[in-house]
Amino acid sequence: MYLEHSFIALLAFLSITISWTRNVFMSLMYSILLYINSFVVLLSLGFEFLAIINVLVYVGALAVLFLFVTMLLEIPSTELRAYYRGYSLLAMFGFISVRLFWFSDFFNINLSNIPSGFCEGSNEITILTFIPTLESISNVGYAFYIVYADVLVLNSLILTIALFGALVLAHSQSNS
Amino acid sequence: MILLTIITITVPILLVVAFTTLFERQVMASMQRRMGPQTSGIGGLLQPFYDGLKLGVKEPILPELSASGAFSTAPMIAFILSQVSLSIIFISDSSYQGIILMALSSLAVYGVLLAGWASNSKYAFLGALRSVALMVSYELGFGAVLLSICLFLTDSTGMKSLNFADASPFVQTALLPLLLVFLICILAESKRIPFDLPEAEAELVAGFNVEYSSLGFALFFIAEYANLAILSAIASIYFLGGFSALKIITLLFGFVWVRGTLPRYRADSFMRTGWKALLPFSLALFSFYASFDLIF
Repeated sequence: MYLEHSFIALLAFLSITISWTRNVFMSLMYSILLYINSFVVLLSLGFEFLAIINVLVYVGALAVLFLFVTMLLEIPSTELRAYYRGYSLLAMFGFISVRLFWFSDFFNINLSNIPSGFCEGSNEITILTFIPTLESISNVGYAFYIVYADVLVLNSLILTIALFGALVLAHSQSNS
Repeated sequence: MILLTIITITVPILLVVAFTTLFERQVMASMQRRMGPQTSGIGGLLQPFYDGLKLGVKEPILPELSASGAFSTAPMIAFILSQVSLSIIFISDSSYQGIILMALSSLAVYGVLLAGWASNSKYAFLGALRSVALMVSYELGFGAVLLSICLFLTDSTGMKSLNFADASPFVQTALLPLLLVFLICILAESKRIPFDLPEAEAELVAGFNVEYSSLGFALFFIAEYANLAILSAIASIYFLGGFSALKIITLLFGFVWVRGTLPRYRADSFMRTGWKALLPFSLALFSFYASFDLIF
């Protein structure tokens, strides 16, 4: 139990350090570590397919995209305003106060007397379309393509419109 | 016990890398009607070890203006990922083999990207950007080929059986166009000729790893050949009916043959080939196989 909680606490810590560092490159490195940590957390929950897809898409494609942007554009570190105005400190305090129970195992805080706004309710999640005899991939397939197929089609239409929007934006800039 | 497992997995692939370099030099020499390494050992058999020793005793240069964390980490990432890729073959739950291959290929991009950027050199950075664009583009071909393979082999429990020798000969013949796409993607992923513009040895010197000397360069070198060997092992599992040393050696001979024969692609040409030729071709093959799967 403590191992899983420590990985989740590491998730929290990494998400804080992403906005806490001054250096843009280190911020992206922390985000890559965050994705790899989420891979471990998802594996411990039993979602193997989702974990591998997470790594493939986020680390393999999205973080590479962000790295390209930061490497090709010179972003001056002295202009990171959130850091210098103290917003990241505020964010850290807000984060810890709202998610206090994640750190309660480590700091020996007794949560029973604190008003319930700082605590989570029940941590049990019920998956409505879960079929225990199938693997996780088959469950994802069952949920996406059979039970919620209409929502999936609507999502794909929205994504197609977004794709066309990006093409139109790129095209109109070259015309003007 | 764990150490024994690690040694049993790592040492064979390092030996394969060493002798692949010798094999490549001998075969290319034959194709160019000259002699390969002959003097070190009998018929040049000790040449790879002398090469390793040479790289090991060179002076490791750490450029002062480089980002030293990323500079030192990049060869480690490349090398470790190439060794871990070998574990794909040993995964018994074969429904995840292909997708873990995809994830590891996506992670291998970081070795190149970090090496080029952290070198603080314009030419290394340029080589790294081209390499990353190349690798990312040809991973899509991998993905589409794996999609088509996944259509074919299911048994009654829903688990994918990866032993293609069990499939009917009709299936094995029908998958041969995918073998062609897969082999082209292997050449692109390991940045070999004809896709080696990012590390064009005569022009850019060495592309993204120009600032590396000694063992940093050796690690990139080993990672490239290990990726080649492991991906050809996977190609022989998927398409040629099993993990067999003879088939892997034949594929490696094919790759060296291509190196000795073809000129290299320009940057825009390989991008065009990846996106406008290979990806539509593999997707069209996927829909073709899927429609056959549905009908029959």
